[in-house]
Amino acid sequence: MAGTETLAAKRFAPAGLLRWRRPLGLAAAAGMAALAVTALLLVAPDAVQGPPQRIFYIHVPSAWVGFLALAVVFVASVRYLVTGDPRHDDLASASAGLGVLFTTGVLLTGPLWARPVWGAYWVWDPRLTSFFVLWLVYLSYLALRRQVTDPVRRARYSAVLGVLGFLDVPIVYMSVNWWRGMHPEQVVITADGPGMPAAMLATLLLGLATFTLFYLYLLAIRLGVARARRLAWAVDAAAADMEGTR
Amino acid sequence: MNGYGYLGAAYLAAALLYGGYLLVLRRSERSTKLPAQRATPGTGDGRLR
Repeated sequence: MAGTETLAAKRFAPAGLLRWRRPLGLAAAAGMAALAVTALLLVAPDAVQGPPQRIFYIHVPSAWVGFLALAVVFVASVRYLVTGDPRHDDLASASAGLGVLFTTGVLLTGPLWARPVWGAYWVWDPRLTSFFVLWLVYLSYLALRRQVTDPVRRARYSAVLGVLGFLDVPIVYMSVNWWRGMHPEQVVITADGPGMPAAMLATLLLGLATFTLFYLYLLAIRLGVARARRLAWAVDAAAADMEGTR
Repeated sequence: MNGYGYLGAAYLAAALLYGGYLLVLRRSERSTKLPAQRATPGTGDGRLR
């Protein structure tokens, strides 16, 4: 591959994650255990909603990490389009799969919270609808990657989709402010500060930190797999070229 | 189903989704080999040449 030596010599910061993989996994596992105990047993239940409100502590962190994963796809896609470095495509594809994973988590836990509180599993509210569209966009991103076999075309097409798809993220975030719907507005980042007791906020922050560590751990694994597959493909392609010229 | 039922279902769904994904990912990782770990590609017989 042209420029392989140059690419190998150039530092790629996300690759540093691979070295931190084990500590990340251990920290995420410890965080998950602590979160389960805190969210299910220690923190006081919400006075109005009762037990289902505890879903909040996994629903919101899933959404946060889903957005983080898609932001990484966006940045890596832009960098791929600018530099053509396939390592940015590795990162984008690794993070896109995790974006779909965590947004799926939001779509599973949200309805189970909505049913006892709203009386319905699903309503076509602006937040829910725009989020569902976001999930479909990144599902199509993964489908696109499966369909295109040539790695350069696959990287280019998916980078374009990774950039365009991210346009829905601010729409999802602001949908509760722009349009009237069932979904509550932001409760943590508000002009008046967090609109919840300190114990609930601390549990939420524990959830956000734990899910972020879990995301980074999964990203380290996926990045390693993506890199190994790309290198294996390059070796196979070089071998096929040699066979052809023999 | 009461409030505890929805709470339990949500946590169980999340545990199955994330835990199941981690297992599938680790399995996929084990089956993905770096070029250096494989025999010379294209021989079809696993022998180095």
